Amino acid sequence: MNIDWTTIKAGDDLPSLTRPPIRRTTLALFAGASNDHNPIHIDIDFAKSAGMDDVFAHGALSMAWLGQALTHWVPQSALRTFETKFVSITQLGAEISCHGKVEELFEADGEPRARLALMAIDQHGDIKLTGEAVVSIK
Amino acid sequence: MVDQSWVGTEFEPTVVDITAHQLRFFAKVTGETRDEYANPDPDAVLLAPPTFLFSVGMADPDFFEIRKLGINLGKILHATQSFEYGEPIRSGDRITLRRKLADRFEKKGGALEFLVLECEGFNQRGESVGRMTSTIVERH
Repeated sequence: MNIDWTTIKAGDDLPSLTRPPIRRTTLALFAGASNDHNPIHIDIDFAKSAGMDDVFAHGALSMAWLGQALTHWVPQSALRTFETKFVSITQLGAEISCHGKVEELFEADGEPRARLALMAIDQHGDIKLTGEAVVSIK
Repeated sequence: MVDQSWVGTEFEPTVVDITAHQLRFFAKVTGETRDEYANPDPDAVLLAPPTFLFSVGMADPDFFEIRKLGINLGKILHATQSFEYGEPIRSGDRITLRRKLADRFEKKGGALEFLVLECEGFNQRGESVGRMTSTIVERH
């Protein structure tokens, strides 16, 4: 995307990004792709023995999607920091959408930057992740 | 409960090779199709996406040795994750990870135990590819 940085201002929204509903297959493959083999995400027997009703999604899956929302807006080389808080467990079937908003413009280390507020929500509007990123906008 | 004496402990550095196969797999599962991340050309050098350092950390087969700290995998949740970026990670890189248990604290009278893991990665040229902090919470 070509952005005219001179027009960026606090309150601007990033384009949102929505991914298909999370299936068991998604979690099995993400376990392999992300190297997070914790059986709590892929083995219902293990999950039940741990007191859960079912397996649930890796927080890092939604964070990866939030990262994609960021890099659809700025090139990855512009990312300075990216952090999230995993607010609630993401269940099977969740359809995650990722949202961002420019919080403020500032300068640091000699470059203009934007601080972004980030959020991943499911199809019911329940917040799964909140976060923040700082990007260079030079 | 993890013994407080583990706080400050640095784990043995670990070495992880970044393969195009793994990056394509990660891209495919996450619906990423852009060439810089997912180019199917066998000669392509691929960029690791913004959260991939976390997966580099998990690639270490000894990572689950954090269980020797007394962690129950069935009771942990990822609470927070942060990244500070350095040089990009690309396929063909060999990343050395330095990781330590930076902090440990409890909430709700010990019902929730938080572990803060700090990590920095370096590529084969000795350049930092970034730092990350992971907080995991164990429910007791």
